[in-house]
Formats: sequence, structure tokens, C-alpha cells
Amino acid sequence: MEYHLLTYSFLFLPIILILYKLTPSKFRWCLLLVVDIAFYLMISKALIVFFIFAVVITYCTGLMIDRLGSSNKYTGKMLKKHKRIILFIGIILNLSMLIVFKYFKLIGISFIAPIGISYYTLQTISYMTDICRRTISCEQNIGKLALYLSYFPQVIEGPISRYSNMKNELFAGKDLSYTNITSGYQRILWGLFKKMVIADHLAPAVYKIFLHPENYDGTVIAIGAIMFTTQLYAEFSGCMDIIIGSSETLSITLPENFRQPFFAKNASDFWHRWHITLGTWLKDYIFYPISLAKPLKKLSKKAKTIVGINISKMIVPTIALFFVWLTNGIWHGAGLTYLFYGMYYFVLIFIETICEPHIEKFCQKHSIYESNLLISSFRALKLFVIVNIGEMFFRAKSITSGFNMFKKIIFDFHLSSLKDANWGIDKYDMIICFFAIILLFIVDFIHEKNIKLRDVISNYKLPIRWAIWYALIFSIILTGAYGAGYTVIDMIYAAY
Amino acid sequence: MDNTKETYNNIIKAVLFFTGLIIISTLLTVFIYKDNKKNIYDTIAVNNKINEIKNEPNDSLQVIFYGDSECYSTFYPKILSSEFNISSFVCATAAQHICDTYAILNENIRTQAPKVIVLETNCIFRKPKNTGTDKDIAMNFLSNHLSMFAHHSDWKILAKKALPKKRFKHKKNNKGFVIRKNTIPYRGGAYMKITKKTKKIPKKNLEYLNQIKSLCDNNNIKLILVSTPSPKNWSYKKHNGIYKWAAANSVTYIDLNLEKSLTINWKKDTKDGGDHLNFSGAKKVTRHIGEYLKKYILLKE
Repeated sequence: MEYHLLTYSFLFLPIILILYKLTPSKFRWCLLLVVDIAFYLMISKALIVFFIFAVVITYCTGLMIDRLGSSNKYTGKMLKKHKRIILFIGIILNLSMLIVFKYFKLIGISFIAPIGISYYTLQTISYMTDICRRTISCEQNIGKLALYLSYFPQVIEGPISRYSNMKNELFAGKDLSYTNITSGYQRILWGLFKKMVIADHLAPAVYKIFLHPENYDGTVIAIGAIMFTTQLYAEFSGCMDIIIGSSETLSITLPENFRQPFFAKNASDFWHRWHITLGTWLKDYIFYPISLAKPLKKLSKKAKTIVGINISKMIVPTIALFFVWLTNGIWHGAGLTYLFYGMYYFVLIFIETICEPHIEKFCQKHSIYESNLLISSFRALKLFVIVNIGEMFFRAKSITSGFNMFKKIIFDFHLSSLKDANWGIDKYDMIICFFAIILLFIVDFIHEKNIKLRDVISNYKLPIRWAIWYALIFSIILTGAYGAGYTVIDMIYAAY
Repeated sequence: MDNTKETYNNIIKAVLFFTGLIIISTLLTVFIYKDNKKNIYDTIAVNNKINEIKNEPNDSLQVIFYGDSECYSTFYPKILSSEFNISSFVCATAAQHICDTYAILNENIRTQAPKVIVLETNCIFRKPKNTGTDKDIAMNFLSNHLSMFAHHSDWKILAKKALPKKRFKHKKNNKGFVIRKNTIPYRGGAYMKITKKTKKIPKKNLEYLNQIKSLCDNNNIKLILVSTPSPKNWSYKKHNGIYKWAAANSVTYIDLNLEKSLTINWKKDTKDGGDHLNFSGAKKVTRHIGEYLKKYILLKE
């Protein structure tokens, strides 16, 4: 059962809410755990064994690290060393499952992966590492750890949460509140709107163009790339709204995964706003450990004498950044296109890091301010181009296909071809999509101004408030891409 | 006390909100989705095809083809017209359900008097009407019980009526045929392995098939069932299922998957690795079926 299906939001979730309300608060976490197991079984069936295996490994690793710290057997460096060895084994065991399911297809062996393996594996690593770093204490109850790793709203495609942020609300069994339920459902509706009205309408056109890009000229391909970026954003952020909204109904807060990414200043800022929880995970568990690694510190010192302070300062962050983007690319899948996608952003952010200080100096010297309309428009356009090219390679069948598409955009661009292009979507759906995207842009713009739209609407008088929600509900029912003539598209990020 | 009052207030608000939702849904159902379309799966596609046939001169078509994408990728009316002097039209729609075949045929015979109806058999095995997805129980329930969900896109029909017709006219009139020139070879080898096993026609579909047969009989139309070449969609089990029904009802059945004289080259004649035929494959099949249709029509005349 995927989150965008009505069964999830309007049948499964209400049943859970009723059961949650009827259960004494002390045992509510137990109910959630039972629901998680049932939810997991419904999707992955026998593959739940691998999830249980991951929970046991993580639990034991956490416990062993914790006990090692409290015993007097080792102290100082030896303690640290032993803790790290246990942590390393725990990580390797968890990662090995991910590698087998996700990357063995590279050598021609493919399996159906347990649902959410890419997400919960990252959570197991963060949990074990945080215990080793002593930023959290070990969870003594294996059931509670299993609940944290399998919490049903997030198990399929994140957000990648941290144990420290989740434990209080997840295990507290807080009572349901009318405000949280209505607010959660309002967010679910907005998510369904993005998924069903925007993403699923664009899907057939994107599929068609990316399947046979050789049949289209550069103009259609460029629009196809923009369509895919829009589809991906509407789909992933829409599903996040459903996920976070459904958790909100249970009075459990999940971390945000999107913050108006298309209003970012540059590629680096974009990644602080797009798939935020993956970005912060990579920062905390790849970037910092590599930056602080002794061999790199030594390398930096040596480089100082050879190339000078300025360049040597850049060496360590650049190497760490390289591994961050390598991991980001590989995490998305086994294909070379994902690796390319990671390296694309590595190069871009590296160039940005070098150029930004010089550009800032130049702007200060010539009294050009960020708020200048021309500058901000240029930045927005630059980011838009960068993101769309990146997503085009990400979605392309192969790197060669991606380059061919790029070549067509540059050398084979004829606006006249738009007339005869067969998009696989009818004109009415295109019009609906166009207005829905404008609405999405307006909502994002309002959020960018730090205005909480749901709070604003809740302050309106009841008839206006309800009229807005009715309008949203019926726009989904009447214009959503479901039923005859449409294909319900599975969640894209659930496959990563 | 205050808490209890607030709870009651919230319950009343929720009840009122859902009542409003039901009232609006009812109004929409009464004013927009009032037509009885319970037996149509894809109203927009059905409507389009009905209108396309209405645009043809009355009683001008000798043969009408029905079915899904297998059908509109295969039968090319221009060849039938130029080489066999047969006027025809393809009334196939993407993933056509047999309930829609019946709905289109039922309307078509009001303005046309075809001699032959060709039904491509792939749609006979398509799961009976269900507008939701298999996975979405709630959506299935709503679609099966509320026409607003099942035919939610029908506002397009109203919009089409309201907007000037000129803007929506098709530039090329291939009489329902879709030209597909791509080639992705099929490399799976032989696919019609002889078996005695039979794939049963779903019960609901069987009812529609019988209704189509009666409609044809009542209007003096010959019904021909044709299975177009498709390693991805066709099998001997399906062949047996159709053959049994055709034999029991004295209906002509041509399985082109078993036709050796057809010489389909699976390296060149398929658009997508054995699912649909491309233009080259379509020309071969159209000429083959053209010969048959010509003989039959001449005989009848």
C-alpha cells in the first residue's frame, strides 16, 4: 500500500487513528509497532526477515558499544578503537544487505529489495554512529528501536529521521488532537493534489520522451527535461506532504524534506532545500568524518608547505565533498547515470565554492546587491538550467542517451517542432497541469516568505476556510490523473 | 467541561464538513455526471470514437475494427481502401475494455451499416470494468459506486462542446489507425507453444461478447474475431479460449499468430519488442486481412 493511494489516507490511516485513540497511551508505541509490521508485511511479505535482521544487528551493535563504554575493560584510545571496530562491523553488516539488494544487479544478479532498505539502512548507520559518538544513549528496548526504523509513514521513502529527534514523540503516545488531525489531513490533501494533478499528468509525456529521445528534437527534449523535474518535485514533495501529514495526525512530527528548492540561490543552497534529510545525513556521516580524518589532516598540513595556505585549505573539504556526492549518486541506484548525477553536482558545487567569494567581492565593489532584480533573476535562471540538466541525465536511459539529449537541445532546437509534437497528454490535461504548477509556485512563494499558509487559512472565517478545502478536494477528484485513460504512477523515490 | 464542549463542537464541525462534501458531490452527480454511464469504462475515449464515426458520411463504412492498441497499430484503412476498395474505420482505443467496444458499436450502427465487424481479441481478456487501480481498494469502491469518480474527466466533454471545434480537429485522418515507425526487435523466439490448456474469458467479458454477437446478428453484420500477431500478448491458451467460444457460436476466428503465410519478421516488424506491430508489420497484416475481407464482401454482394 503506497501513500498516494486513497486506501492509505482514507481507510488505513483513519483505522489507525481510531485504534490509537482507543489504546492507553502507555501501549500506543506497541500499537504503532504492530501496525508497522502489518504495513511492512503487506508490501514486502517474507522480505521482512531482512528488516528484522537489520534491527537485530543495529540493536546488538548499539548495546555492545554502550556496554563497552560503561565497563572498565578499556579506557581512552583503546576504548575508542574497540567502539569503532564494533561500529564498523555493524555498519558493514547492514550495508552488505543494501549492497546485495541494490548493487548486485551490476553483476547480473538481481533480487526484489525489501521496501525502504535504502532509507532504514541510513537510519541504522546514524543510530549506531550517534551511540558511538555518545550524542544519544542506546535504546534498551528492541521493540522501540524497531518502531523507530519501521515507522509506517516514513518507511517507504523517508524522510531519513534521527533517533534523537524521533524518540520522544514516537514513544510518548501523545493523545490525538483535533487540530493535528485536521492540519495533517490538510497537508495530505495538498500532497495528493501535487501527486495526482501535477506529477501523474506529466508522467506519460516524460515516459514517452525519455524512452525514445531520438524521435524528438531539442525543443521537445528540453521541455521533457523540465517536465521530469517538475514531475519529480511534485511527486516527491507531494508524497512527503502525505507522509508528514499522516504522521502529524498521530501528533508525531517528522523532519521536513523540502524547503522551496527552486528559490535557492545556487546549487549548494538547492541541496539544502531538496531531499534535506539525505543532505544532512551525508553531511553528518560522510562529510564530517572524512574532513576530520587524520590522514586528510596530515595531507592538508603537507599541502600547506607545497601549495600555500589558500589552496591547502580547500583540499580536505573538496575530498570530503567528493565522497558526499559519490555517495549521493550511488545511493540513488546502481546505474552510471546516478554516478554521473552525483559527480555533476560535485563539480558544480566545487566551482561555486571557488567562484562565489570572487563574485561576492566583485558585487560589493560595484555596489551590486543580491536583492537586485536582474541578479536574482539571473541566479534563478542559472539554477533552473543547472537543475534541469542534472535531472535530465538522472532520468536518461544511459549517459550516452543523456549526452545525445543534451546535444539535441544545443544543436537541434526548433520551436516550430512544438506544433507537431505528440506529448501523450491531451490539451485539457496540459491546461490543468499548467494552472496546477502555477498554484504550486504561488504556494511555494508564500512559504518562502515564511508565511504558514495553513495557519493563514485557519484564521479565515469558517465558510471561506471550508470553501478552500472543498475546492482542493474537488480539484483532485475532478482533475486528478486516475481511473480510465490514466495510469496511476508508483512513487518514484520508493524505488531508490 | 470546556474540553467536552470543545470535543462536541469539533464533532459537529466534522459532521457538517462531511455533509457539505456529500451535498456538493450529489449536486455534481445530478448536474454533470447525471448520464447513466455505468457500463462504460473510458467515457472520453468512447465519446471520441463515437464522434469520429459520426463525422463519417452515413452508411459509408463497410468494415469497422474494434479493440485496443493492438488493433489501431495493425489495421490501416488507407491500404484497405486503395488496394482492396474496402471502406473501413478503426474504432480501437488504448486499453479498450469490451464494455466500451459494445458501447461504441451500439452507437456506430445508428449511422453506419457495416458488413463486417472485426474485433481484435486482446481486449476480450482485459480485466472487467474497474476504474481504480487493483491496489487501491478505496478508489475502486468510490469508482464503482459514484459516477463522479468513475467518469471524473467528463468535464472535458463539456469543455469540448463549449470550445470552438476547429481547434481540436485532427490534422491527419488515418481513420483511427496510428502510424508507429519505431523498431525494437523481439528476440524471445517461438511463442505459440501448442497446449490443450485454455484461458477462460472473464465472465463479465463473456456477457459483453455475447451481446456484441447478438447486436451483429440483429443488424445482419458479420462478426470476425482476429488475434493480431503479438508474442507479448498472445498465447496458445488464449487462442484456445477464443476458439472455443467462436466454435460454439459459429463465429469466424482468425488467429494471425498461427498464420505462417504472414511472414512477420520480428526483428523489423514490431514497434516495441513484440508487443505491437510497427508500420511495416501493420502493412503486412492489413494486406493479409484485406484479401480475406475482399473475398467475403464480394461473396456477400
